[in-house]
Amino acid sequence: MLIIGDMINTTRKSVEKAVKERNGLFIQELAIKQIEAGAQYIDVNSGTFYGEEAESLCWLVATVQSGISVPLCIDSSDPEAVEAALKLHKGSAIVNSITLIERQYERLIPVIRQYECKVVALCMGQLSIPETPEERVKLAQQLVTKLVCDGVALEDIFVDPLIRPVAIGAGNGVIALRTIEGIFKHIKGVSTICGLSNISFGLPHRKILNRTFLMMAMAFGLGAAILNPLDGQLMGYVKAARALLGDDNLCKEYIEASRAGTLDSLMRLGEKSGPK
Amino acid sequence: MDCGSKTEFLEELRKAIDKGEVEKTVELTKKGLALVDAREMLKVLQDTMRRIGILFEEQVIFLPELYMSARAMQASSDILKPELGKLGGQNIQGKIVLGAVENDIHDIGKNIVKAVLEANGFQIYDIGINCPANKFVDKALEVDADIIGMSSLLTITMPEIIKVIEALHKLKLKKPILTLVGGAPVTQAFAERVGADGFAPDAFDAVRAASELVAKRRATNSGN
Repeated sequence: MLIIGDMINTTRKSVEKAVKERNGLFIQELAIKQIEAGAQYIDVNSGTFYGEEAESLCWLVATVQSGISVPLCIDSSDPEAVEAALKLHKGSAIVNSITLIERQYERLIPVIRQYECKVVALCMGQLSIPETPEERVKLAQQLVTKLVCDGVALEDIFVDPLIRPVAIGAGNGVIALRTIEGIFKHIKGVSTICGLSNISFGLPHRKILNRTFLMMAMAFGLGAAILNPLDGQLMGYVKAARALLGDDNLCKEYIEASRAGTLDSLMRLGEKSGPK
Repeated sequence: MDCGSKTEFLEELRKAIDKGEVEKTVELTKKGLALVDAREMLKVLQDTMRRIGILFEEQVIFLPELYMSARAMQASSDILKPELGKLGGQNIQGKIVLGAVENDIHDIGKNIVKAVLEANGFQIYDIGINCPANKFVDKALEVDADIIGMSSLLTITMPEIIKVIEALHKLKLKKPILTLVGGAPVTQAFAERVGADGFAPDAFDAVRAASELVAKRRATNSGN
């Protein structure tokens, strides 16, 4: 399970302020905290800086990587901004994201090849997001085939099934899970990824929904998630799930986490509400 | 109908919308047409949605509840519309062409905005989702709209808003059609940057913004 920390996103007020003021220390600390909490990549998104997105994104890339040596997930829908950010990026980045929308695809593909990036492939067509899992898997197949033909390695592709909130459609959770399952079964060699917090939009106690959904998605074969690694409980459950799914040989990491005391808070929470 | 039972009836209607009971709301609205003035029912719709809006903002109620209430209100206002037209007493606040921009297929937010605006006296021409720029402009010209309302729920489709604004500018209308934008990733700063006339972060603010824009447009007109 690949963890990508989602905290450096300018839709968050504190990050927007830090980017506006070019407060490098704030951004670096946020990156380091996420890595310490178990993130392997750091997502950077400055999408709210319309017209100055490329400039802010480049600043984020340079700032994070001068504080800590970590690969980034370049999160932007503007191909110009992605290219500018990749020029500065050290190591192999993940580009988030590419779709079958032609002008975007054609503009991004040479950039992805030049910088040998990994890429998030969205299950989104020229005109729409398909409704059924079967259609989404078919679309994913199309996009993956196209990417491979254009020279992207299978193992560098992360397919995003596109999670929509359960608050606006009761079936949205199941659609996402079945899509993850379908991709896992039918498109051998690629991984799946999701932006976790989308699932809980518009509902109370979002962390509970995020956590529960991640456990389900992992069981269906989810390979990577963009999430908040500073949610200690979430990360504790990820460790437990990895042990249960056989991704943690001899439960080594799980036992280590237990020894380090990082799972204690999860246990105490259970005891407090349980019978005496 | 006497005063007491009228109050009771309107209270029942309010409760049905509160709970998001679409069928019951429809039934009550139909029944109500024979009992009370349609304008009084409309007033209940508006007051209820305003209160629901506040509860949503304060996180007392949540998106699925807001959505069902908006649907109930929309269903009721669809029944009331012809009656209100007959009464002639209802002033149309303004005409708005409403849609999601090209490649954007989200309609939940747009539908809530539509329901709330409609209940507040705006005439809405809903052109749906995934609308290219010319669809917005053509419809606005056809119906002589005051405002084009656009939603974009994805950062990737936000530039489509610019296309609509540019297409409108190119027309060099003597009495320009104004633009109102919204959607999760859309901000005030974005709206200003791309030259939109108004921005609303939610459906309830959209009523305020739309009212201001219509007033502004009418003032421009009287100056000509």
